[in-house]
Amino acid sequence: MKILLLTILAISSLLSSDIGQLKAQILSTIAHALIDKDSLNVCLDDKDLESSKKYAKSLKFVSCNKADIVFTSKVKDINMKCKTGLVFATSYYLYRHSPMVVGAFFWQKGRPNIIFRKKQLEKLGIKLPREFSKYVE
Amino acid sequence: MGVLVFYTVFTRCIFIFFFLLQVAYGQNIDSLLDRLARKDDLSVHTKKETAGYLTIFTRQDLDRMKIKSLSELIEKIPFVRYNEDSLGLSDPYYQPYQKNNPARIRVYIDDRELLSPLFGSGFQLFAQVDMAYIDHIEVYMGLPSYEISLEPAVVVIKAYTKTGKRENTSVVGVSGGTYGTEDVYGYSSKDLQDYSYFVYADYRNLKREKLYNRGSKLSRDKMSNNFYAQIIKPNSKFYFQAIKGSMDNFIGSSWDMTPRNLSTDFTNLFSGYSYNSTDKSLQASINYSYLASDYFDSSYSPLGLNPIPFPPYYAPYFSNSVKTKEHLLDAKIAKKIKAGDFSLLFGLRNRYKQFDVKSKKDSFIFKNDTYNHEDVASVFTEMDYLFNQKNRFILSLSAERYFEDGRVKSDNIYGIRVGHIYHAGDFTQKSFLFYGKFRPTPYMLLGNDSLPIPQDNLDSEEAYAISTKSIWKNKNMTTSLLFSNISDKNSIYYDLSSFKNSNSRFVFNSISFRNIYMLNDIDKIDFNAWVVFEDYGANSSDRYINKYGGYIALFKKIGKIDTYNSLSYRDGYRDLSAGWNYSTTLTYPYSKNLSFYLKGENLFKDALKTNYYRVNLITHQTTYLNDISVFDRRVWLGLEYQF
Repeated sequence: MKILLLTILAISSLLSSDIGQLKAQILSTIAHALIDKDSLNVCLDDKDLESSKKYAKSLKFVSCNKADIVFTSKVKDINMKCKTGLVFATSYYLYRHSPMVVGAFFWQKGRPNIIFRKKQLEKLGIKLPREFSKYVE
Repeated sequence: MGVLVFYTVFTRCIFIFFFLLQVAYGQNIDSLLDRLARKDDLSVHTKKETAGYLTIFTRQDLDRMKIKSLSELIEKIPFVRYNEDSLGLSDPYYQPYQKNNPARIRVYIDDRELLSPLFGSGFQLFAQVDMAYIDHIEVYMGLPSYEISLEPAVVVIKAYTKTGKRENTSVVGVSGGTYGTEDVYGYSSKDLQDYSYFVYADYRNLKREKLYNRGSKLSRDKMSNNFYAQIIKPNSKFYFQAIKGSMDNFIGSSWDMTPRNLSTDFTNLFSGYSYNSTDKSLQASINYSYLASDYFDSSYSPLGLNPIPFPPYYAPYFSNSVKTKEHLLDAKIAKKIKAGDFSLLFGLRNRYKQFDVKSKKDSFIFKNDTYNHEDVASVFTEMDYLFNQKNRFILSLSAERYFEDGRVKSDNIYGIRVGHIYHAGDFTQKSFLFYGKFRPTPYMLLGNDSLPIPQDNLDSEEAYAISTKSIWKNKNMTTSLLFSNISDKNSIYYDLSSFKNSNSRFVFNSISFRNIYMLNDIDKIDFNAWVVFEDYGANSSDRYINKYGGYIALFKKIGKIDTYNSLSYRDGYRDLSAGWNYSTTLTYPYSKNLSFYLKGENLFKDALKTNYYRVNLITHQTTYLNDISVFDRRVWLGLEYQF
């Protein structure tokens, strides 16, 4: 099943050309790299990424308190309602100001970038695939 | 069991097939980020495809070129040849003794026009200064939409600044180049949830190749300090910019090209606020500009003639000091209404321009007391109708009232633009008809108004244009072919005593072909070739002129090194030799935070050259300075560190 999932991801990534599709692909790749589950419940709370929802077929979008992973740019999501899953920031500001955030997907120096927080990964016992190692800091 | 084995083998084969495809295609998280950087470039959100014929230099393009100034990009714009005037200022349409015509190229930074109240276009203010605060550049060819530029122009350059939201970092860059050129810049930016900021500063000491004539040094050096700051909130933006510097003015006005002391100090301040509603239906902005310059020219030969009350009624002067102060208040509001497939944009704009000129030619003092302001009130509208999924029709109208001061006559200017866009699958066809007028600049009007017998009858230039562009686009390749016919009437020229309108009609027929082939997510080959057939009318001694140009550019990553190579060509210009400009940039990322680059410009030393001449009205001798490179052969070595 895992192989099938990766295959679908590979096919969709090859075909993806739209911005929403690409963002969905990146979110999927991050989520599956962090959580070893075939079906993931994801909470997405960022209007800039809203367009990716319809393309992320391997993710199930749910409310914050039911999510395996939360993609958000808002501090309030972390403080108030999203305490069950992993939190992955979609803004650099949130990443810098919330130590519990495991990583971030944001724009830096005019291009999209991802970062994973080593301390948080170790604390949660997450081992990332090798291709992500250069994004860990 | 058999089904399960088949399923497992099948899925694994499929996975291996697509894994290999991914490898071939460079598909991984890096590749996805590369692709998103290209597809979601800031230009995707700022460009206006219906506004005209668009060429975009994306953030990635500019980064990989390590672009140092806008002048480098001019050779990538069809039908335009980069050139510099006798003051060493950028003027692609420079002709000896003629003044810069601002109607040809206009420059915007974000959505504010860089406008000199006295001289018109701000192209000369921007062309040779630093650009590290610019994210990307959009070039609109062929009299674009009034939503883009209300004052008509053949080429409109829109430079968009970097934003805090997309930078989120602090950067310092240092570079040095041939002739002792130095450039240091730094910026800091952050996205702070409710707002983002971007603060930038640059110091540049641009040293140019020195020329000598009869012992006089002809220098085009420029030194500038540039500070830019902006705060962006979801619906609004505030910015402030200050540029202070000095420059050597090359030949100046010296009749024998023998300047003694020749330079300009300048201070330019810009500030403004803009509002954009969430649904982008309401836009409003107010901008203020202050430009001050102090020009001093002294020469071993005369600079001009002063009137005197006794025979021979004129006397040559050898020094000229000109101080200018210009103020511009530019306010604009535009509302867009959408109803189904129809949208209507309606806007008002007002530009109040004030200019004070004080000159001292030896002991002869001039002050522009009779003409020192111009007020331009504009109304414009654009109707956009999506007839069906394939056909879109556009109609734009503008009316402007130029309220002039003193004896200068006020005038009304009207413009109309009709467009049709056909889009089906991979094919797009854009066609536009345009009629408009180019108003003379206050500098031209002031020149004629200040004559002993004022001549306040200078008319606006008139232009008619018809053009069409075919675009074929598929996954890896974009090919386009542009045809245009522009007819120009009442063209303005300087006859050494005053500005006049030409009686001839000028006709320009142009063809441009461009092909961009993406080698992968980030690498590409960009090719352009163009020709212009020009007809200057029966009264011209050189009636027909054919001009050619183009470029080929390769952006390619080789291992860790990012390479950019470009060869540009221009030919067919009257009395000017053909120019080949080979430029290259190599960027080596030493670490995630530190990168080094080597950049070479005009490496064959065979790029564009120009000719200058001056006539001494007393000795009747003509001094020539021919084949002067407008692009220096220059090598830059630089580094950039990201904190």
